[in-house]
Amino acid sequence: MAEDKGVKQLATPERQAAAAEQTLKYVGRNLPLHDAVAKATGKIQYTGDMNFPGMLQAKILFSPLAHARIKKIDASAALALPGVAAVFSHENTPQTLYNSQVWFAGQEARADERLFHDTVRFVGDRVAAVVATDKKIAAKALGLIKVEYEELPALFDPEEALTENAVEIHPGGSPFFEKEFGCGNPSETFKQAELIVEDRVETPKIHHAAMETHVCIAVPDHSGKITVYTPCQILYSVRLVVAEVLGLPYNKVRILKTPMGGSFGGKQEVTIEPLAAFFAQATGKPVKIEYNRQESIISTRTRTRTIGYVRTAVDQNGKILAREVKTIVDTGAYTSNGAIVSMAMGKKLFRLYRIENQVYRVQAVHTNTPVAGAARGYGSPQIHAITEINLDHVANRLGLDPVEFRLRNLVHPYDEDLSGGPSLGNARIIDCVEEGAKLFRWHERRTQAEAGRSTNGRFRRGVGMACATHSNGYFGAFQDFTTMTLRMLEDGSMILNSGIHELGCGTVTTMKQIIAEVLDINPDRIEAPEGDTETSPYDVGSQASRVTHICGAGALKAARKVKEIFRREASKILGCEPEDVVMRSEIVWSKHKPEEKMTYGEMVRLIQQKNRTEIIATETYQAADNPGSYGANFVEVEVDTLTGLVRVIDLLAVHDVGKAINPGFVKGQIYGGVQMGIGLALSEDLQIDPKSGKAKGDSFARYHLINAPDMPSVEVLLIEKGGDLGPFGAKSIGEIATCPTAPAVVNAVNHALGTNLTTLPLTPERILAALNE
Amino acid sequence: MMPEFQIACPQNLADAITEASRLQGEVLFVNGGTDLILELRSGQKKADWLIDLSQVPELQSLPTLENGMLKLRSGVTFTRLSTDPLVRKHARCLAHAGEQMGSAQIRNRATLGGNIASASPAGDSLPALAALEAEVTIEGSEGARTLTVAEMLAAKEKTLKARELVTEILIPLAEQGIERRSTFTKIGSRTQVSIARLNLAAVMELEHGVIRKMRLAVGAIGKAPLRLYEFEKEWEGKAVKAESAGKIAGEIAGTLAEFLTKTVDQAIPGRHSQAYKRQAVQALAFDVVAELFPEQGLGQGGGGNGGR
Repeated sequence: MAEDKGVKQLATPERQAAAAEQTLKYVGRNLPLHDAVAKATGKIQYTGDMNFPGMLQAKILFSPLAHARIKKIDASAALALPGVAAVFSHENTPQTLYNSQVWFAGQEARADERLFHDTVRFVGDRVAAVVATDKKIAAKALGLIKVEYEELPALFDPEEALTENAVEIHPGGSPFFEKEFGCGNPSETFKQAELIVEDRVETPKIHHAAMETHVCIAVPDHSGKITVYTPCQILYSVRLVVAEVLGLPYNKVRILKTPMGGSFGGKQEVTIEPLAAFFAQATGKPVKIEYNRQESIISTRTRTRTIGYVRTAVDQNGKILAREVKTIVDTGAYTSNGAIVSMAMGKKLFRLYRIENQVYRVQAVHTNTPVAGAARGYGSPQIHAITEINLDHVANRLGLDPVEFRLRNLVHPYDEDLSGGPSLGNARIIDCVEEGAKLFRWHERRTQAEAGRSTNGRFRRGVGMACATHSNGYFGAFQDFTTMTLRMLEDGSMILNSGIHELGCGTVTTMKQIIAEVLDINPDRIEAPEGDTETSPYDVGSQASRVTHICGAGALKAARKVKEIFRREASKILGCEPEDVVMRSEIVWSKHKPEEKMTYGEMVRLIQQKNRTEIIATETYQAADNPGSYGANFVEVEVDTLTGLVRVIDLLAVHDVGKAINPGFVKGQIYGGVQMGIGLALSEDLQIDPKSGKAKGDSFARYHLINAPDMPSVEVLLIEKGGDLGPFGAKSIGEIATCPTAPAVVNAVNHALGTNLTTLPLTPERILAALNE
Repeated sequence: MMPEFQIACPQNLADAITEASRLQGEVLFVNGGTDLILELRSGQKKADWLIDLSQVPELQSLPTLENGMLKLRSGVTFTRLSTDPLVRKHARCLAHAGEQMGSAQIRNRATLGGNIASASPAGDSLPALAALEAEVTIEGSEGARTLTVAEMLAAKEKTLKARELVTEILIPLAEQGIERRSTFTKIGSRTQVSIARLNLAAVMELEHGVIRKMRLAVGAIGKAPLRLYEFEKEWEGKAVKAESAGKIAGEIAGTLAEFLTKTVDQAIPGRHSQAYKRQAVQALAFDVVAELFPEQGLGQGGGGNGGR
């Protein structure tokens, strides 16, 4: 970017980003995942592939009843089976209460889970476990355990949980958490509003559907230490819960992050690790737990079922005057993250549109259904479904185009969060919507779809869109920081020691690209092993869309520090000033003696020999911002009015990511996020039977993900304008990628049919029922 | 968890039948195993012995034409059904069912014999076989017998006795000078890799512009596919002249749609799925008729389920 000399240019973030763009060598390039070849060739060892000498296998007996007191467990026949090492139930396991989602010591959370309870609270709750020499024996022994239950009345409907005399699942009943917050004076504003549009929107319980089901191995040693191998998202959360349940000091619990076969939040909470750890402690042998698909679906975590009541007041010009959003969050049988996800949802309401008068109220409830927890977006897909479907309803009532209506209300760069949250940073949602509408030919397609409808044929086209925002870490809510140690070795290669977790999103490669950029070193020459609680510095974990923004900034800081140390030490060898030390493509020299060149490795050796020190830095990066990541999806659908089946024809995803460190990874996240979002809109649902509490969608035969034949072509447009504190301006993508999709699809279907469908998923039955109304 | 069982691998049909009667305990035949393996894992079925039919050459040989019949061996895979030139020519609806069943991986292993033997209410081959008026040969230690698919579907009890297996499927060819058109379509909860919520097969035979034969069977609204005898009779003998074909096709589709709704109402009254299926089944009528009269361009763009 040529700048006119003599004319003072403002150093705007855009300008800085554009200037940096031209000089970047590794950042912004599509390097492959560090373990892609090993995964594709089957060489990688997933936890399910791992075995230890003398390892036992555990199988869990799950409750067939939705709510019952266990009167008696007779395990004698199971114990008599050769090969069975032990049978565990509430009778012989720690009764420590814990909460599966706490991720830092001292975090307050309602602790209502035990390894095994004497009361089961949902179909799929844990009753007992058999630990045996192999899985077959364990499975056979499960069938020999006799359990007597006393059935209790059960509750499946979250709204029923709020009625008087509702079944009490935990002492105190529901709601177990209530909160209200907001800004301005919504109730007064509603009184004067010209138009108020109300909706009830419901989102279902869904399964994360990672290819790898839940699995972990716990290995005891002679000193009483337990090592747990687990494809987890938060090492230090696993350590915390395991240490608490087993009553061990933190340094006697070691957690190792193993290769991840997919998580999407499903492995964020601590579900099977304390069980395996306790079984290992009790038997003195390594113990593996590996769930099958049905077990992962019903007995781990789901997305919360959420019912939202939303009222939006607007004036005739389409300005949003006030909004009131009430949610009922169904966390299932145990609290898990019920309170935090309830809050996380609400906060998004204040970060997407300029709404001066707004209130959010939430009631979180227990039901006798599978336990909800972290799920990609952490409440964002739910709350955006609720509000974005309502906004299209508002636009419709105003007779305004949905894009135009949104543009009149969206936040602008560097707006404040009116509810008191962190500044929105360089919020580029308006760019997303304007450029997306252009690229998608929004107005043309909308008009075409509406013109085609007059023929009243069987297939109807609709065009819809939706916007969303998500976070970049915990700044403003919880402590957020990371510590990393970066070393350069005697051959010039490097090791980054940190508590990172590769979830398949490219975290490891991303860190390497950032370090490579600073030190001008080939990323392949950097090792960035995943976390190990015994050797890695502390990290908050792969959650809250924080990794690229926060850990990436940590890697940047550590790399800069290493560069500073390297130049300082090299300057002593080269006899020059540190700022005269040139580092380029792994070659170092003094700018005064360009003829005397040596490799980084040769220099590190000389530094060891002559300066008697090493090139190492441990740096802590403390998050200091939490800008919004933004996204908009534009969708065209075709609905078969006879079958109620929806085909998503075309989708454009536009995302404000600040800067894509690795555009290929960013796009990969978006393709997957879109696939999950369409599933949430159209087909995914655990389908809890209202009589038995059993999930009908407990296998992939009945739980339908959007598969390849039903995926539309997905186009991606990235808005990269930097401007915040992430490395090279990078913001998050992993969670925001799925947030706008479901409401965009629903809005397109409603556009096609002239309906106001608000209960997700839009199954063929629901679509036909709406058409018949 | 896969339970323990023993497996026998006969190398010819006679051995398979002898083994079946000789072995002790629960004996089951397996070929593709796409259903059976899951049922064994889940404990729905138990077996002491599995007899593997995949090495029996008599059951694997390719479709042939013999004595006015298209002869299929029970080991023919769904992939083969969908691509075999003889099947596509003479029993197109069965080829269509072959294309739409399961996933590519399942179609590569699953066999027609297995689909008939498991007789799932939502099975995709049975409506096609019923519309084609196919015959099925069943063999066991007491010899062979041949049943029409209509007889099989009408039977109250399971037609396959213990230790019997399906060996051949015979499909009568259209007579000389008669043009056979046929098709199959289904509605699942997604385009592919989906169990049918409704399926429909149709065979229409024309001679000099007159409908000589109309055969339809609808599946997934009861234990077995239903033939639409009354509707078939109504249209046999009707002329489909080139100039009026579009009008006739439209009438057929309209009456078939109504007829199917009535059929659903009678088959599953009060069932939760009735409200949906009575309406959605009409889509099958329009899709099938559009395929039977391809020159009329009745498909409404975008295609129904699968957009073929």
